[in-house]
Amino acid sequence: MAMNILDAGTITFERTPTGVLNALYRKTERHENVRCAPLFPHSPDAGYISILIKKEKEYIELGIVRDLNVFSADQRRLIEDDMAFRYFVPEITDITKINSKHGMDEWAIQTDRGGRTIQVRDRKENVVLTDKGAIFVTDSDACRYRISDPRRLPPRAQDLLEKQMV
Amino acid sequence: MKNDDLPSPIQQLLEREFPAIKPAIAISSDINAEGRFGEEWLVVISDALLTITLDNGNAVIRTRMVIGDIDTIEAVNLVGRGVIEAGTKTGISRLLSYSSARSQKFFEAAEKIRALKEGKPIDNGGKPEDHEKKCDVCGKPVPPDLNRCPRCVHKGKTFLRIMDFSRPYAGLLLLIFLFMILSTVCGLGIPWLSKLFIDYILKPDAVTGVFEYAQWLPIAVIAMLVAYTAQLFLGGVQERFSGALGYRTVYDVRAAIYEKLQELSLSFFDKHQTGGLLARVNQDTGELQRFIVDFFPLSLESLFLLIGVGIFLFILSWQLTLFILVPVVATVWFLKRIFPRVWNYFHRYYHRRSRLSALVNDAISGIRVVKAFGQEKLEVSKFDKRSADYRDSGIDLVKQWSVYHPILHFFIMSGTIIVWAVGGHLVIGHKMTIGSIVAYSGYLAMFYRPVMTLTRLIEMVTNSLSAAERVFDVIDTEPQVKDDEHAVEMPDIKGAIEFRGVTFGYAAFKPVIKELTFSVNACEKVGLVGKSGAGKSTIINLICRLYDVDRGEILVDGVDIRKIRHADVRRQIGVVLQDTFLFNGSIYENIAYARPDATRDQIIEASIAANAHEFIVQKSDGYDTDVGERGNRLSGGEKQRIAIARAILRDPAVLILDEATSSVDTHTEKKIQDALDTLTRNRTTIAIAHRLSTLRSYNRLLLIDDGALVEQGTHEELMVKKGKFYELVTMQQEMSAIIGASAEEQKNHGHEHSGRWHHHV
Repeated sequence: MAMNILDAGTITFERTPTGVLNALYRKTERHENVRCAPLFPHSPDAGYISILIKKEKEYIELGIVRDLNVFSADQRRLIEDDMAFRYFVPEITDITKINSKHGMDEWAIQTDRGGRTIQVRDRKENVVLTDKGAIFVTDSDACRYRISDPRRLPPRAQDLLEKQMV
Repeated sequence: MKNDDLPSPIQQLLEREFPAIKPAIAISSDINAEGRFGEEWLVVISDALLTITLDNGNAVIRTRMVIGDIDTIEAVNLVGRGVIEAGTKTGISRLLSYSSARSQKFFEAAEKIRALKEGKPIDNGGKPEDHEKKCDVCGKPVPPDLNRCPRCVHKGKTFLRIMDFSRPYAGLLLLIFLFMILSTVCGLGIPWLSKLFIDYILKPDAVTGVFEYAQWLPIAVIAMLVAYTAQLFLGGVQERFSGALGYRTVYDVRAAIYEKLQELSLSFFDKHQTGGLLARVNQDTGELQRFIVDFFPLSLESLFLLIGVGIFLFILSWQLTLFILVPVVATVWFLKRIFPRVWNYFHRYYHRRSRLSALVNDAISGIRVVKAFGQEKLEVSKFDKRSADYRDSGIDLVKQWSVYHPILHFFIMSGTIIVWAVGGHLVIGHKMTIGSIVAYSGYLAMFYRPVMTLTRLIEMVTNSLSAAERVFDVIDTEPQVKDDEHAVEMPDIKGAIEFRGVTFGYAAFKPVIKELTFSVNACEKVGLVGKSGAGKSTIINLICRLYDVDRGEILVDGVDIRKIRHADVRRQIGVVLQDTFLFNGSIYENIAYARPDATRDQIIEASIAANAHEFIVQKSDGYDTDVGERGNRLSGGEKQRIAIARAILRDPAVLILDEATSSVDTHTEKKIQDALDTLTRNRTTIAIAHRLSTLRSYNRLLLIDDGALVEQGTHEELMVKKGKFYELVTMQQEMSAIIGASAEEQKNHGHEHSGRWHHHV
């Protein structure tokens, strides 16, 4: 089965006042509460977003937005906002303290979504460096945080982070 | 679900808006309306559903809905967060979102709102709400997978607990102390003897030039020899005792953790990855061993030495000691504040090294795939990149080491210089003897060792105690599935099984089984069918009581499974899984695993019944054939037949077959099917099979979809009904036809090609 590529001619989005994203497909099919799921969420380049619609109890793919740039700025913004809403992985911008206690590390962090203190267990499995150089930290509540480029952290935070990399 | 404590501005707002009414639901989110970490409240009070936000300390109602107007309310799981969505006639509204940490709470809130809407009683039962567990000391939440609050565990207590494990070896511990003190005392005597040599024995009288104390020379030499020898001997014995103590204690700890791991429920293993658990059994207990064998005695020895040497330094010259304190303090400061930077480079170096070795391990393990896809160059370039990282981190480390290490030595050496500069003046001023200065230098050299050891040791001991805490954490974990206080014995289960309104999810906020009700009679053969992920294997996990249900109950012979002795349930359920797991060992041992007391005759008979005997006799080592790691020296069909023999030997009242005939060829499948027919006779059988035709002979089929029972009946009944089961069968037949046609086509195509080739030849 070939990919169903969606572009500005085949799909338009609109957001309701209550924050839900609806879509009009091929100017005839109206879909409520669609989902925009990035297919490559770890890659910084925009594109390859799966548009999912609800059919009975499960979500199925309507098509793929291969290039966000084919959409108008407004439409692009709607897709990006929905992705940001659905894919909640805050970016760590600073690490102010890491305390190790009881075999668990307590990180005091600043993120693009605000400050937080998280508990990280088992560094080996929960502080993971990807081949692209980004680091993913998973806390004991299974919330994930990203450090896209560890070199952009303040030097002290880099030192603290380095000690966590096993 | 417990309500959260409302902040006073929200309380006041609610009192104003809904006087004298208590909220039915009041829970806080940890993400605000702007998508940042913050507070936002979901409150259900009277007939209203509200979301309330705190704006500069003022409570503001953001959304207000009448419960009766809500058609649907759902806690939707997204990536890293969830959202409460309410559907009304006008469409869907996103009420508020929360991070994954609060998923369970909001899931329960949505359920509660649905119940309120439908006028049903609110069920607060189910799983213990471990996500709400709070520390008794600090009041902060305790992470769900921990038993104790990590902030409030006292290192001293952990140390005492390790020592508690050493209690059976108290005599050995006392001997270690004794030998350590004696060895330290002997060591301390050596510089003092050198002072005696210089100041008395080897010092001629200033006037006569006669060595007055010459007769003491052999005695002093023997004393020095005895001191050296005793220090070495006592040190050696102490090391031996410490080692024995460490290994014995850690043996006990390791046995305790392994026993606990065997006892714990599967839910524990779902939360913890295998790698992490292996690290606890091997690395963390190893770290504990290092603590007892190395760090603990070393710390004590250093402490004795520090005190002993300090006393001698003051006795020899308190003035000089005051001067010496300057470089000593500087050294300690440098070791504490500056030198740890080098450890960062060590961390980086070790991390790069382990990444490189992981890559090599990956590529070598998957060398067949690398070669098959011709990706050798890609692998080499990946290796080059990581190897370069490792190289660079090594160069950086050496660079740092070459700067900081000489500085450290400079601080240490400056002590010696001060001794000769200040001590020299004292000697010239007749306030100190040359012997004292030599002895002083000797003591000073001894003084830096414990200073350096103790400074570095703090970090090492902290690491060891953390490892110990991780080990104790497992030992202290209570299994989630355990025997009820009043559990009844049921040594002879007949095999009737009933599910009554069962709801279950591996994470309670993601139910896999929903309000499931069905019953299976004793000795009935029932097939579970449905799409992948429908919940079939979960049903089996629940029957085996690998997990306890969140709501509802499972009855075995009319008794709640939670009220039956755990061992009785397990002993009378036999399982044959799709992925057969065999332990490293012989075929005999693997079959006998089901009943270690079985005789050879019983094992051979079970193998014959399982159609396994016929391939076992073909093996040169027969039943003694080593199956290899995870049984990888046997084919899939052979492993499967061993698993069946194992189940036959167990002779269970309830037999569970989870895809037992998939992933084998048709010929083998026939053999396995025959074996299964023998096995399923006269016992309750519950089977899962993707190939629906294999369940044709079963008494009843249950079609499971999205965790619920959607159809049931015999194969024929369901086919006549032309419902979902009929759709599944039709789809499978169409797929088989396509695969069959394609195989036929390939065969013909192949013939054509080979024919042409022959023709050319």
